[in-house]
Amino acid sequence: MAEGLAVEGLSVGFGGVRALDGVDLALRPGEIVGLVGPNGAGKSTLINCVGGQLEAAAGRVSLDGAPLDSMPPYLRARRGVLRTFQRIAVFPELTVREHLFVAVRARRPAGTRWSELVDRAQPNEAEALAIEEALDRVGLRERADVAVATLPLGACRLVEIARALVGGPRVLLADEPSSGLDPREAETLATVLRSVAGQGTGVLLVEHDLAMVAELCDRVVVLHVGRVIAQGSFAEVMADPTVQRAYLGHAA
Amino acid sequence: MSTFLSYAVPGVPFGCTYAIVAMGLVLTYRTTGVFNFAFGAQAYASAFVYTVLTGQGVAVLPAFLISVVVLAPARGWILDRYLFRRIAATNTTAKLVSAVAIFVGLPQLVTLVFGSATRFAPPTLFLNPANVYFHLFSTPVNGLELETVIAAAAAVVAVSAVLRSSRLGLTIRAAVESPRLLELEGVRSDRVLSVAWMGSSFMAGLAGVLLAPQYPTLQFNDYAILLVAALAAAALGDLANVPMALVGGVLLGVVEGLGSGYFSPSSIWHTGLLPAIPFLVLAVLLVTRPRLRALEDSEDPLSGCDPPPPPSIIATRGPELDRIIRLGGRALALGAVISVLTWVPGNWAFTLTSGLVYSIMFLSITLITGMGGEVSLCQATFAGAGAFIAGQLAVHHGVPILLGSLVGALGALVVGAIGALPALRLRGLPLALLTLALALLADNAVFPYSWAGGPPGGLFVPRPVIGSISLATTSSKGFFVLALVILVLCVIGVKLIQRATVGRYLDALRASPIGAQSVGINPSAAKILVFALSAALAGLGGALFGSLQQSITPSDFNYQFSLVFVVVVVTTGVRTTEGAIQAGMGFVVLQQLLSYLPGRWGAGGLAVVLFAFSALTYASHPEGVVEYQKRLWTERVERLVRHGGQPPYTMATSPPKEPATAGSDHHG
Repeated sequence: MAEGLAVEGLSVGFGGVRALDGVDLALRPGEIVGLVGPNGAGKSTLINCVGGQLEAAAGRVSLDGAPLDSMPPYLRARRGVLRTFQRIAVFPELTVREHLFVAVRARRPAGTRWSELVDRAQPNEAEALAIEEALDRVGLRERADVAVATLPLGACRLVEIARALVGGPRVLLADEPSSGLDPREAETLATVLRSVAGQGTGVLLVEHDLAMVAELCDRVVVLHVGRVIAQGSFAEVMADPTVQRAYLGHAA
Repeated sequence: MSTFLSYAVPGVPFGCTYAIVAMGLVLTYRTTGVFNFAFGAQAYASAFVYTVLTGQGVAVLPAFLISVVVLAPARGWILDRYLFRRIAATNTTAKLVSAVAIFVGLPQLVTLVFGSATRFAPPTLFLNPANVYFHLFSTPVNGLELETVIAAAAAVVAVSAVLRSSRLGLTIRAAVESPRLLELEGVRSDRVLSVAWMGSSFMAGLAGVLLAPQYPTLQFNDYAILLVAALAAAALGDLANVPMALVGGVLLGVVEGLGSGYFSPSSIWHTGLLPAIPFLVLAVLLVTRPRLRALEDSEDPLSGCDPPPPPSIIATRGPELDRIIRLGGRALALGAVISVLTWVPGNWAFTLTSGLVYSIMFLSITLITGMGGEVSLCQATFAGAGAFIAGQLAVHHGVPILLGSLVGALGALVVGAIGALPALRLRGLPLALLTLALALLADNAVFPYSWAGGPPGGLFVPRPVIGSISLATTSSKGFFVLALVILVLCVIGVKLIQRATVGRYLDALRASPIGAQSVGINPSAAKILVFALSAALAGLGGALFGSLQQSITPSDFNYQFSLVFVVVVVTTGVRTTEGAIQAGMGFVVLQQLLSYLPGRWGAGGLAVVLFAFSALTYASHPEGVVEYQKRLWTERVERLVRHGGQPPYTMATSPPKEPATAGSDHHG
């Protein structure tokens, strides 16, 4: 069975609209795949189906050959499928460090122990190491102990990234991570994604900033009204007339 | 067949009363976005005014105009202007608690103002109630029944027309969806919502006045039960479909009519199942209808532009403030303990002891609402479970009461864990409604049996005997010490969980369920755990309450107490253990102080009214009124000491300027 994430024939409908219509997609370890397409193409729907936030009507999602389909989101996270959100979903009252502690602890496949009902919420050595590494990666070490509610939007996005990658995910689903980032933060983001992939994590990147897609992605998949209309290198898909029509409308 | 019809037909008018309220609920929910618990209280208030006026010889029409056409919309305008407008659309907890506060406060206020004398049914609006107009399948139909059916039919037409076809209806629905988006279109959303609230209150008033002649005497409890039954009817239409709400109401009425016809009055079905049908229906619908579950998910399309909500004050409380408050609290507590053990007279010692017991029960709300982020409206039921288990064990099996209390807490723990199972997929409003339905189910179908709630005269619960010391024979000061020790142990336990890994998980789940699950936190396990532990605390508190009172009946633990508990604790401060203690002590001390007032002012209702009115500030101070005042006063003292210089720590002392619009969901 193939290593990495495999999506086969995924379909989702909202009422009469087919948000996804038989989508196939493969994401190998260490690969960065860009998922692009006009608004309403089904990019976030695809991410939600892989993350488990949304139930697919048909099709299969598997990680390293093991099916994920009937798993709730938290079990997928424990298998190593981690994500960020288009609309940030941070925990305002927790500090950055507490975010990372919660993330690295909760992902432990064994689940919660009874002793954790009365422990002191302190990371063990391995966890502490992972937390510090993640803090350094996103450059939030100086602000590690402030409540996330006091951070600007860009920093919140980086907190989400760090929360998803602390402890090394198998697959990172990044849903428009660069929106709301200033150029310096966007640069940090690009570096982080590249280094995460360098450690063997497969990254599925939904991104409107095509320059970033061109720079980062090994492969690009173009979605349009729920179908994959092209895939290949950035240059290949951008030269594809179908893609140009999808982006610019039928007049082109 | 004719038997069937003769049982079914009388159910129709009764079902129509459900339907009228159900349609009012749908209208309110659709036009204001608030699930209006207060609807029952508003209907009651209008019915009360109407009854008082007609009782004093005012003709029906002017009484109707004053109570329904003038006063009811005015009440709606006030509610909107001074309360609901200040609550962010996404802040379910604040909306719910405010509505519950009105629900418990308004009837008490009415009683305070007009007195609690028995008031008999007022005249009907336009038909002679006693006159039989015609026979339907050989069942006589009198004016009262006919009037109800006509009113229900008129209501379904009017409400559908407003919602569906008028321009106002469209604007109102848009204002509910996103007031800000509507304002981009150049419409003043606040005025639209104001109109919606006035319309909803009018509807509540109308329902109240129509229903008043149906009951022999005017009692708030009838309206409260009616509200929940109507909710079941409205739930059949997913709280959105007006004709379905009508159908649902009539169906419920018919089913109850058939039930009371076919079941023999002495059978278990008649006494146990029949009164519980609406609550059972509501519970089942909440669990099975996906659209009801999704009530929680509607969100403002513009909310993506919002910054993350500010942390609650409690999370950012400065270390200095923390130290001062802790020292002050300890000094006060020590003083109180020494006082009780030395000079305090017996009745006040008893009051303070019951304050400790209430504090234990209120800690369960700290756990479930403050830490778990969910509003539960069945904490008194859990307390009752603990109390009745302990009492029955003591009476029938001679189990010592302290051991029995532990068994009672364990029993409540199991009940809580089982109760959490249907709630696994729910949160926010639907979850709160489910807990209310469960509470009413217990009130109607479990507690009335003598094996559960004890014999009609009350279940005797003994005082503890520790070694050779019997706390029944010595003064109640022994019990005070016992309750104090147990409370301290409970506080330590809750604080341990707060600081533990699981406490962090709960923080995460409360702030962002979707974000928390995406990193691997199991929401179901957390919910079962929180419900079970919270129920255990309530059960333990309930058992001690029983032992302190020495005799308990089901009415000591009925659903209204759950509502009052939530209002009291959330008002005082639901995020900290000290908040629960302050709530417990404050609740009993206030009641005891007010009991010195003359006449009806001393009857106990005033305390509830005061707490309910302070709950209305919850929208602006989700950290709790007491917490807010502590912060304010410590700041003032500090500024005085520092000669009016800068506030010592800016972050902790500057509250968010617009907490009402900043979407501080689940800070309760």
